[in-house]
Amino acid sequence: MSGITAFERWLAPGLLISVALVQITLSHTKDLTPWKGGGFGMFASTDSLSMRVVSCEAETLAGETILVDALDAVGSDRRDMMRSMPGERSLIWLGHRLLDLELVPETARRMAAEERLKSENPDLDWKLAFGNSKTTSFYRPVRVSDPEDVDPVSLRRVTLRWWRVAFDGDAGKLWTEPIGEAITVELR
Amino acid sequence: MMNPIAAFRGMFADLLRLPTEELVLRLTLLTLLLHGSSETWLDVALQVLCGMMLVSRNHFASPGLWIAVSSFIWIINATDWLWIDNHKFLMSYWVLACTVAVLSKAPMQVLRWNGKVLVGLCFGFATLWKLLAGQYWNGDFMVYTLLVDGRMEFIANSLAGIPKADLAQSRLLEDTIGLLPNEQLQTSLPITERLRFVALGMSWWTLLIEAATAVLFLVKSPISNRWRDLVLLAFVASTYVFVPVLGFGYILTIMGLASCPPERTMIRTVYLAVLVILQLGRLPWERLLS
Repeated sequence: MSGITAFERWLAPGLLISVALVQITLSHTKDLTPWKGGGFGMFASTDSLSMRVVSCEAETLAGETILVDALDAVGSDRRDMMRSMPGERSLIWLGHRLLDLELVPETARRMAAEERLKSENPDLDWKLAFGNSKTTSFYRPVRVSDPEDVDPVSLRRVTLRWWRVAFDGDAGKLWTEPIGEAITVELR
Repeated sequence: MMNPIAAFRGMFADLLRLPTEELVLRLTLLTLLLHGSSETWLDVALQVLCGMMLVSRNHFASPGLWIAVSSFIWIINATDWLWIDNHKFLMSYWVLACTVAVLSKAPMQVLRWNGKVLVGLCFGFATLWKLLAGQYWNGDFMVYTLLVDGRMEFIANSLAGIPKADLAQSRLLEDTIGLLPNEQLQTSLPITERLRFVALGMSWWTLLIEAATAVLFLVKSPISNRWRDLVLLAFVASTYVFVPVLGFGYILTIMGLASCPPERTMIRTVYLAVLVILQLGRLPWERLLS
């Protein structure tokens, strides 16, 4: 290999080494997942993107407390980016975004369909047919395809926190543990 | 009329008669075309540029076009570095090496050196992470993966003997526990001695073959020259047929081919054959076998 220059030899490998060392450092200091960031830590740890979740408890303008699927408020690329390296800044950004949005129950579409079926079939035993399926605890941002007759809610305050789903192979135990502190964002 | 099998063999021989530099650049363009993009903007650029370069007789090694391809890949991947997969990083380094090669006075030597070192470093860091993460060498990561990764269901069921209903339940528990995170919340997954044994075996096999690949590609010795291609081919064939991340399998195979001396015709043939075999991983084996 004497015929090639140091630049030709080391440009690409040098970049690989630099990026991988930065990735290892960020993983140990900033919670960057081993799976992402170019350090080749895929398939080494259970701490992947899908194991990182956000809890979100919110208070509506009407004073009701609801649970929100907060990551539904962002596109998949941004969601992956946030889960790769979860931090306070992403929670604050997400909190403000949720305060700007209107939310509906996750089952809004099904609820609207059930209401329509009920109105068109008044003689059916609805308790037997659908049980208590109208009950829901999670809310998500309104989508264009949502039915118009479901009333959305707006938020006064949201409390968000990053969590990690962890696994202990000896005990076969699966649990959730917090990553950092909870952040509260309120309407100004 | 010509026999299709004879024609396929003839095509293989024809590919192997190409200068290694041309073969490697064309296969890299094919990989970028099929598996190179991470988002629409890059996809459009690669489909147009790589597609035309691939079918062009004279422009597959055009420095200007390789600079364009490299620029698109680096700009987009640098923007998306937090969420793209590791093989997209590896493709970025390899495309950069190809660009340096077509600008060089000794393109084949540049490709051979970079192929060898990039494969070695990729496996070196993969091994380092498996030791650093602390969940790999004791089998915990593989136990979890066998239980909740749908791609592993066939192995978990047939080799480790975990009933399909338990695997479905494990995946559901993983999904659900993430919906309601709480410091008091926990559950247990169905761990058996047989599962632990299979997971430990798979973990140590992977650790061993990845470490061996790193050493054989990075350390210069007569043993390395004799064994490195076989070890890399064994890894690619035994991994990406079961976990079909084809972009990763393709780029590793092409870098291995680039680093392989031209006189080793048999090994070069196997590298080409592995590119074909990797596609078999996409077939629905479980359905076919049952």
